[in-house]
Amino acid sequence: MAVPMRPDVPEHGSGEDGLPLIAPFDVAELDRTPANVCVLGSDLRIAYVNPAWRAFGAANGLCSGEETSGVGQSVMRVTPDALRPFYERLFMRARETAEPVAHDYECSSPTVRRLFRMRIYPCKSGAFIVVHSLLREVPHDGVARAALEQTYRDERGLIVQCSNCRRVRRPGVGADETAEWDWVPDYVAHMPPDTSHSICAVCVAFHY
Amino acid sequence: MSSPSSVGMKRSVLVIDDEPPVLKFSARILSRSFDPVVAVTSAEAGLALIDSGAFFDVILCDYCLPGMSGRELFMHLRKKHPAQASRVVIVSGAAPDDLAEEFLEALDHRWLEKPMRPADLLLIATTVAHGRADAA
Repeated sequence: MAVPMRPDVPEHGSGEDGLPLIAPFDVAELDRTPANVCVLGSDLRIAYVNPAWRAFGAANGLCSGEETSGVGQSVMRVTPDALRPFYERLFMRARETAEPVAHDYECSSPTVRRLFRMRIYPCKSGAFIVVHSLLREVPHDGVARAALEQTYRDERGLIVQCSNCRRVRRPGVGADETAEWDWVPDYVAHMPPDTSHSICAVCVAFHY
Repeated sequence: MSSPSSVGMKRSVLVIDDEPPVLKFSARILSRSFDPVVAVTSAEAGLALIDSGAFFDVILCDYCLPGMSGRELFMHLRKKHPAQASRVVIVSGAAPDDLAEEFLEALDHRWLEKPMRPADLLLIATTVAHGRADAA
């Protein structure tokens, strides 16, 4: 694998993903870490991804093999349009402050709910090391489903799902316009019994 | 609300849905071609209007409702108010495969899947109102 620069981040102690945050990063270290790691050039093109990144991509149908691992592509190319400004600001902040920037996000599948922490480490060369650490993984099994039922079934005994975006309304939070709607992959994969379909405020505004 | 033969006049429609945003959206779209547009949040409330003598050219009813479901309302109308049963369009967030085949046949396949497109909603409602349910 070719890493175009020697990452030279300052020392930050030990990360919770088991990656020793020593300076400079060693490629062998990146290869060993269980976290999904990529190194981006100053133009945000992916220069390197570690084996964990490839394995995660292959296991989730995101990529397989060298050609589709994203190497050579701008990371913004695989970022949805609506999210690009947000992520561009994160990289800009890391570069301007010369400090790592962290952001937690959900990356769930129909079978598991996952929470990741993304940490962007700026390098003096203008490059970035991006570490995606798995913080929490909860299978949508019977136990998790029972918790979902408790969270989302309303006082009438119904689950209310937006018929457009399929998000699920959290009962008792706000009126119609201010209600909160959550993305529940399990309910998208398998519609629970007694599901009532409505329209969330965002979809009303967007579609109608 | 009108008589069954209100030729040349705007037709009446009863909309039943427990979700206010859906009710509001449906009523707004249907008001382009229907008058009056009567909106209620339960099948029981809709049935009370029909029991009291009101006749609707179209009854657009959600399938999944707390209390009496859309299916139960339709079955009840078939027995008590068959002329109104033939005006029922069921709206459902579930795919048609999830609805029982016998129910769909009894309904003469007058169902609309959510999310509804305004054009589809108006088309099926207008078709049923003019007594051409088979073309829907």
